[in-house]
Amino acid sequence: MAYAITQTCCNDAVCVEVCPVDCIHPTPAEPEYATAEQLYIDPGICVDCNACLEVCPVDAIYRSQNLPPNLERFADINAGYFREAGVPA
Amino acid sequence: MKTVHTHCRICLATCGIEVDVDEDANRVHQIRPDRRNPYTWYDFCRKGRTANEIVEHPRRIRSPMRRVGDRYVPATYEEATEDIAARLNRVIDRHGPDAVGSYHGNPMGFEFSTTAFWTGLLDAIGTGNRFWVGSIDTNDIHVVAEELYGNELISLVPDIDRCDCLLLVGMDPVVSKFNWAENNPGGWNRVLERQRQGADVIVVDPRRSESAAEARTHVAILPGQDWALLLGMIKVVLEERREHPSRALRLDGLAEIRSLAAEADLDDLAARCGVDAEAIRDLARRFATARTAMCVTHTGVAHNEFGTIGEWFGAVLNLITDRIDVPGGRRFERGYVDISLVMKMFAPSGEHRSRLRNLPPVVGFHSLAELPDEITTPGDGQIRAVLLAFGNPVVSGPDGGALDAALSQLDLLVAVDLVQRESHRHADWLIPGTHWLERDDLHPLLGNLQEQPYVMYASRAVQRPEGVMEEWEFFTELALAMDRNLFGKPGVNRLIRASRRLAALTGRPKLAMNPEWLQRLLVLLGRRIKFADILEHEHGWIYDEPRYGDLAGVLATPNKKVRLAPPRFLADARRALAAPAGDGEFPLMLVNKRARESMNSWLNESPGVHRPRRMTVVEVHPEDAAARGISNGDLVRLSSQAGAVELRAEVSDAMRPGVVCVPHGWGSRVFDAGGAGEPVAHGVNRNLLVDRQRIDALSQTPAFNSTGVRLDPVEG
Repeated sequence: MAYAITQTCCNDAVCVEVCPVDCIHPTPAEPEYATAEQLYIDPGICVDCNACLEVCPVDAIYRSQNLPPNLERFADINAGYFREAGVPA
Repeated sequence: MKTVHTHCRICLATCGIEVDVDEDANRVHQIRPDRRNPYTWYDFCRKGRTANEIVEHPRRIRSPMRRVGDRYVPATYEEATEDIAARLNRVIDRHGPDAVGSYHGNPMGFEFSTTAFWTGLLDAIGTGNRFWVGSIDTNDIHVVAEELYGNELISLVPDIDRCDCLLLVGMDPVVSKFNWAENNPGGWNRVLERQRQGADVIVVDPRRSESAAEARTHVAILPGQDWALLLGMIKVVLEERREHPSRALRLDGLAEIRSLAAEADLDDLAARCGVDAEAIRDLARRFATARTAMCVTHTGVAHNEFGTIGEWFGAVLNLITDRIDVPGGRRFERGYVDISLVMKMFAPSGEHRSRLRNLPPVVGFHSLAELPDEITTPGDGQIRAVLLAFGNPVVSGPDGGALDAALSQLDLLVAVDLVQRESHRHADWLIPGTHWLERDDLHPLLGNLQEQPYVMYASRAVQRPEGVMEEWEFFTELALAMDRNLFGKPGVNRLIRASRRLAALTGRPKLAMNPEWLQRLLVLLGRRIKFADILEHEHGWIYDEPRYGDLAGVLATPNKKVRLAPPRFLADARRALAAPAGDGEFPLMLVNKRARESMNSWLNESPGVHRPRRMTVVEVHPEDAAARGISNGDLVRLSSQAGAVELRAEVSDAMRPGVVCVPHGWGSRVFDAGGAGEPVAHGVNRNLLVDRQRIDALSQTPAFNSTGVRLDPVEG
């Protein structure tokens, strides 16, 4: 399950504000934010509430199960970000 | 720092939560879902996340406040109870107990201790003029349950994981978390899982909600006409002989349903609900031929002139296709208390009738729509004093202007809450409320609303402000000061005093009468689980496997059969069939919607919950907007027979043409009772547009979801 952010992400971070469990990173308060290509959802923390998808201004967020074939890899890309950061996903 | 495991008490999802508390500062540091809870945390949202904001609200009422002219001054509880008791006694002695009215809102429904002792106080007063949130919320369920099953409190919980066809009417489960009068944790995500496995998911809603967009089928129905769609489906099922005998229940009245369905014309029903006859046939066949199926109806069905027959037809559709109390249908969860007994204790079916419209109470309470006139119309039984607890009826009810004016005329208005809200602005006394994070509680009735047999004790996370009483303590003090027995039973006040003396002598405070006495008694009499075992499970407890077939055993109808066709429902259905459609002067239909980040009129005072915006807009279809020269973001005026409001338009093709949507619960001011700050409000109260005279005859609920309106641009 969980949600995933894809490459059209515009880093406006409104999703960070609505997330009830702080599972979207980097946040504007974190140093990585300045250089991040996009934001990522931690699938181990996400509670599948849909709030981020509804506010995303560029429709970059999907339920992982609904990722179109050309974007399927983003489920792994989102999870991978947190593995690399050393946070257990 | 300590971590407290408890559950949220804002909505029925009652998510298990972990609360990090800084004990020295008595402050909540963070609230998270408790992933060790075996049953409910999946619906955790920002409402729970930010729950402590109101605990620390700068305008929180921290002691009783007495009105002096246009301002409030702090007072002691002794002063408050003495003055309020004397004034209530004076009203009762002169005008009788019905001259005292009461209203309580949804937040109290999640707190057993407050609810039980509130009932105790009202019984001490002896008034029949009790009003509550049910008449703007769930009354239709109670009326249908009473007629069909003989018990107003029976609620049937969806069995999602075994269901092959979900017909979801008037609900937006992505946002509502699938709950209303039943709790299905993670319900919508499990519906989608069923859909991926091949289940047929049908969402009926005038607006293409997020849920509708994800469902296999979205039926964009006309507002207020769900009954016509459901009757059409019943007609097709019966005429094509697609009904199945019920395995779990014996049914009475199928012949009457058959005649009613035969009288109705499918094309007429189709025209009323705005759904093609062929589409109705298709839905009926899909529903009736599915291996397992359920129809679930929520507020979109309920809050209309014919809401109760909509709820009833949903139940009939389920019953005639064998969808009740069987796997994959809607199940009765018997919980861990005897609900018939609880009903006798807390919602006795009284003989009281409202003075002006001569209406009976539902679950013991009259309709909020009646309250303004009951206050302003002179005569015997006129309400002269009102007690309000955790309610904001001026905003959550219909035609709030009328209620606001009525409340200003009272001899006495007492409001119990955390902050002074819109409905409290004429209060003579403000009494501090406590927050659920500050209270221990076990609500035995929530056990009957769960998808699985589940219980959790709700622990307090932080201490309430120094000197503040819990609500039940205040209600008890008031009954003692009035010298009227709490619960209206002789000897109770003597017992309270004696138990307090004993507690003082022994140094054991729990020996003084308190809500836990009742909680322990109900659990004991329920004979299913032990109170001590509930306390042992700090993350919540699934104490049994779900069982099917228990509904038959609690039916309280005279012949122990389900009464499919109650005469007054048949009569109302025939009235609906004869009713004309359409309204020239107010051509658009106003509907409501749930917002994930608010809970009725509650929580608008908490800044952190509302992201990214904290305002109300009216959603309007591009055709309706263009016809009026309205563009996205324009200021518009929305008017009805009852009133008018101004707000911004959001042009959206999610709306069905002819239908506009504004969520309710907004526009309530929070006053600065203890200081000189200006009132603060967010959004617009769209319920000002809702007529308090036009109510569902059966549930006494106003038409929040089908109010005729017109929309005009505001110049400049």
